[in-house]
Amino acid sequence: MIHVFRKGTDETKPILVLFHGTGGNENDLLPLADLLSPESSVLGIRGNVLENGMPRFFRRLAEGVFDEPDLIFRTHEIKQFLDEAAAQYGFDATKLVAVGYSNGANIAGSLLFHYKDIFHASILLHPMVPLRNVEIPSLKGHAIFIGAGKNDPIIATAETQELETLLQGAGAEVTTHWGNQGHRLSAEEAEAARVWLQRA
Amino acid sequence: MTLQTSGIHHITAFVGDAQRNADFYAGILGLRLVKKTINFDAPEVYHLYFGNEQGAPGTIITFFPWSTGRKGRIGGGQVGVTTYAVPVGSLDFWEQRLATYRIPVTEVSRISESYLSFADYDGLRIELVEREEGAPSTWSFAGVPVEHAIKGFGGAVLYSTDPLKTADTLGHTLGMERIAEGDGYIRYRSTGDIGNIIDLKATPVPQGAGGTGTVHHIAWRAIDDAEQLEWGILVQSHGYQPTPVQDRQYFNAIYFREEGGILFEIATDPPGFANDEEPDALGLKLMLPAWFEPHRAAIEENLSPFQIREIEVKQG
Repeated sequence: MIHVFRKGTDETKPILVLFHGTGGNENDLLPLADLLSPESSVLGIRGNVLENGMPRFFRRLAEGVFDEPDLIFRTHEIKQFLDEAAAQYGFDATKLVAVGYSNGANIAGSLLFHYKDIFHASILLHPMVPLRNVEIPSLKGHAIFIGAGKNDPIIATAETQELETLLQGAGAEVTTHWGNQGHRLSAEEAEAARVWLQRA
Repeated sequence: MTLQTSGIHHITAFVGDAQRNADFYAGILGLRLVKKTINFDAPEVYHLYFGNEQGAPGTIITFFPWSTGRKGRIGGGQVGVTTYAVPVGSLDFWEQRLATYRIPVTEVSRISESYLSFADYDGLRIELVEREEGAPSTWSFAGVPVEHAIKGFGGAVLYSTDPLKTADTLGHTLGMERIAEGDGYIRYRSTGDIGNIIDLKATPVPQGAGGTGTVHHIAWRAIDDAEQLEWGILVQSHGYQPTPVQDRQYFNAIYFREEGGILFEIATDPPGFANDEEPDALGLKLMLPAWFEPHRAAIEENLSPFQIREIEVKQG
């Protein structure tokens, strides 16, 4: 997979795995990573799917309606890539923190739904419920930050609440930050995620 | 600033098999397939538009037939029921016709009107109501005479996770008039003579799940691009953040999700479906936007063909 790896200056810090939103790329969230944890190693991944030329992590048929077989296939593909990257760059795979925005938050959510202990913690910015009616592995001890927008044109409030409930039901400690900036990633939300990550 | 939408522009839903979809909406309901194109995000999936003769705003239902899609669950944050208007005196005809095709029908009453209520082959809830308003259809197909033919949408029933907020959006953002309340519904009217009666279920409905057999979004009418621009500003002033304008070939669209969870679109009346086909040849050919045209052969090979046909009535 197309990606960027940047070795950090402090090996005790979490390793951030970045998943961009639709139309982004592996470099998109690097500034966010610098804000969240500047000493961390960072792995930015580019989604393997193109929608009208815009990279995504999995296919959809319409806003909010996912191609589930493709989502599941891509989820496993990324898990395999993460294992390979850990070997290639020699990072500690038990210290990964997912940072995903929108489509990237959804693939990160799907990884959580499929693999136990894949991330140490997760920052999901404007996520949806990636899959329904699946058994989620135990997320006990897993801390999750959700960034949501009260006026998000893409995501219904009830969907964010449904995701919270599902993650909490699996044992995760969920912190949700509600902003007013629609579907956009706001500076305020990024700052809230930074403060949260320091404690996670 | 005051704007009023004249009513529904179109309603879009996910269904399963394309042939069964066409059989139901053309073969049984007698609507015209006014456009056969593809899902621009997934070119192996059709996008089918059914409406009156020219596919006028307020008559158009559109489908993504997705045979491998997971079945959705009708619930809050969706259009729960799509209502079609037929001429006064037509419900008996329709009751018999639906019985002929073995479609189970119930008669229901809401705010002093009678409805024939049934589901399509994928579970979408449909109802028919007699209305004086609305131009008569000139399209007759599969044994539906023009005097009983569907005129277009009577309206829709909205299922909200937060009806107070949805009511506020219908009244104060979209400019509809609240005209009645009863039987657990709040009734709104807009200025058009078709697709103009919206019933909001007054109690919160637990959130549904998108997928086949559910409506994806409802689109409201804007007169033109200039008015759509005003709508964008108005919607923002009510605290929503609409998407940028998207070119849908036959209309331009902006989207926002109202606080009850329903995805609202504001779509322009022009340019319409005769944009790229002659009015008497609508829906006959697979239409592709220019950027997909170089891949036509591969796209056509990936789509399972279907026909617009009369359905044989099984005897006995």
